[in-house]
Amino acid sequence: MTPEQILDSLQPIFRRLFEQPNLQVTRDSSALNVLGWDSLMHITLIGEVEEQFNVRFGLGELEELTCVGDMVDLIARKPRS
Amino acid sequence: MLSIAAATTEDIPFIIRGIVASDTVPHGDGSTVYERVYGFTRAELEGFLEFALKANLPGNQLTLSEFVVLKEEGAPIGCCVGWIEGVTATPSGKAIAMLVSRFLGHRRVIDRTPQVRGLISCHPGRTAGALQLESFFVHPSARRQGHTYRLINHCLDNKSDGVGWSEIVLLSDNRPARKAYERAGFTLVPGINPNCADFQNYTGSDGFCRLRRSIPNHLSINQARTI
Repeated sequence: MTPEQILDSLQPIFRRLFEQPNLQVTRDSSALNVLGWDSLMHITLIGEVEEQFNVRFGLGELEELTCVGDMVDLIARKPRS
Repeated sequence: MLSIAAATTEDIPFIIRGIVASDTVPHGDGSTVYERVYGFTRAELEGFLEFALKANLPGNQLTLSEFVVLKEEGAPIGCCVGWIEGVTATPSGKAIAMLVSRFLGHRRVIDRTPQVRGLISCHPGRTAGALQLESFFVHPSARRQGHTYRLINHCLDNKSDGVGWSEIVLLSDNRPARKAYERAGFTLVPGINPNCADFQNYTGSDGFCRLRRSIPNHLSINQARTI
């Protein structure tokens, strides 16, 4: 998948979890500018993304994940498990 | 002879004992906030703490390399943790949530959503860039000898890294600990009124308070202290 395809695939996950049907995340979206993105939502999001993309993030990778763009790049680098 | 030094992996069992003791809900059944919020059994909690300490993610209350251990003749008698809350790095609360999620699996954490939400809405927060102190523990046989102050002063002297403030977030009903910190120069941060109704319901604790004190940068705390 290309980074653009990954970002497109993330949109419905974000809209469902954040319960915002019109939410449009970009590479710059983060806990700083998306309402409701707290620590619990973060781990919910990570779990959903791991299941949806069939990948597993390491603790060190999660530590460096600060925005949607980081998430897209991380998924793109991951071999599917 | 007393010594204070950065923790190593051989100190982990003592540190786990310290974290469990300092996280225990006052006036309760001996269980900790971790157990009541996340649903850990005691064995799971001890396994989680070992996992988190060994993971050593930077800048949170379970970072092994941020712990200091007070020893007497080489045997551990006290410990605490001190870290600079992240400005650009991951906030400590998020780091702990990630560690719990990795250990228990995110489904189990999601099953505890009401309890975790109760904790989040009750926590007074931490000031990014301030030195955070937590998990003070002195072995019962070594108490009332000023060791908590030794640990505080060691952290203020050695871990402040030029920042101007130190903070301690603790359960507000832990009055003995709060009195000890106030004697060490910490004062209550006023005006923080989080919603603790759910937290009280799930844990039996009144909630948290945040104490802070300035860290003079023109002279050492050992010179400036009045305690």
